[in-house]
Amino acid sequence: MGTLVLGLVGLVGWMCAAFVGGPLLLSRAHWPLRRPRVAIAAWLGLVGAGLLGLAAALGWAVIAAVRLTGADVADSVTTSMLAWTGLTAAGALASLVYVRVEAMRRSDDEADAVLLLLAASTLARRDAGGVTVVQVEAEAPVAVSMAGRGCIVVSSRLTRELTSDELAAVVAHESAHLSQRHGRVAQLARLSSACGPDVAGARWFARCAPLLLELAADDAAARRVGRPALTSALTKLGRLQADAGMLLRAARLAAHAA
Amino acid sequence: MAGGSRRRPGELEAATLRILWDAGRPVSARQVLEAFGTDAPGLTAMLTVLDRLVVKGQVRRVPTDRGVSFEPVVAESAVVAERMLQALVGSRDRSAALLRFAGELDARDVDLLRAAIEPPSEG
Repeated sequence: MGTLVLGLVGLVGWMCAAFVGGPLLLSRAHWPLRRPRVAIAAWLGLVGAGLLGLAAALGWAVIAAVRLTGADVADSVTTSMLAWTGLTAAGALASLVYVRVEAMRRSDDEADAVLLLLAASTLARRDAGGVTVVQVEAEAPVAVSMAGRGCIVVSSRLTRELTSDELAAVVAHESAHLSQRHGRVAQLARLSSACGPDVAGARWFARCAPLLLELAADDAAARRVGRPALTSALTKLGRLQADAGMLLRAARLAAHAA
Repeated sequence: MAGGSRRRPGELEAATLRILWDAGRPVSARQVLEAFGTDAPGLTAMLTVLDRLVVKGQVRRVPTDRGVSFEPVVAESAVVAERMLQALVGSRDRSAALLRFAGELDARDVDLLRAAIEPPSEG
């Protein structure tokens, strides 16, 4: 009984460290913006560790409650209460996750349907290292990809504005989003903030995920096609759309090179 | 996978829509298959794809005296592509699975990034 309570307290501490403490430390650190991919992996690791702790605590409490029947009455009442509380909490969490996932799936399905229509109305399609690049007639300088589709939609305006090297850099950036499964990571980040407690550490990744994912894709693209092409694509589009984010991403690449 | 083994997810749906648009009139599943030519999927796969497009609201069934034909719900035009792209990237509650080159960095991200690039000049 004593070990059980102690063990459960330990596991709850472990979960707090994984879900709140770890992310809080990451949020204070300076290196995540320099090594975005490592930061993403670290966060995923923390989430995994936290969920493992949750499963272990639940399993332990339930097994202890099942085994204790017939022993000291006070002990078995406390233990089964712990187990039932844990099961209720887990059930509530599971139904919350289910509801959030369903809500997210609706907007994902809508986006997916639109992307499919776009892919069908293509001017030209070609293969770029395993992904299909689809060009559509549109005046917005846009490149967009969708998780699970293996397809990148590029607007005709974008291909007009950029040189072929710059366009290759944009495609490499989107390919990195696809191959590193950034869509799934972004969904998980959104889900975690929709289900988790409203604590600074727990929300850190959800807030930073868009930035870290863009930077991770930039790094992968720079490795593949070289920094100059990506930097000039970012600068050109950043100026065209007066977008400080893209200009800063270009500056970050330049700073790395220095 | 029967037929079109090298196809990526959704490619068959896109190609089917393309064919329906090109046809310009309701066509049967068999006619769609014919339009695919040598690269055609099996009839069952074709019907599944058409069903999926109907469920997604992109294609509708048109009853004919010889069975069922299919036609696209949305007409094709460049204007539509423009509008769809805008809707896709401009939507407020955007799908997290959607990843743009331009990203969607908000003011806070921009500040973080700026601080990381330009170290504070205080002593």
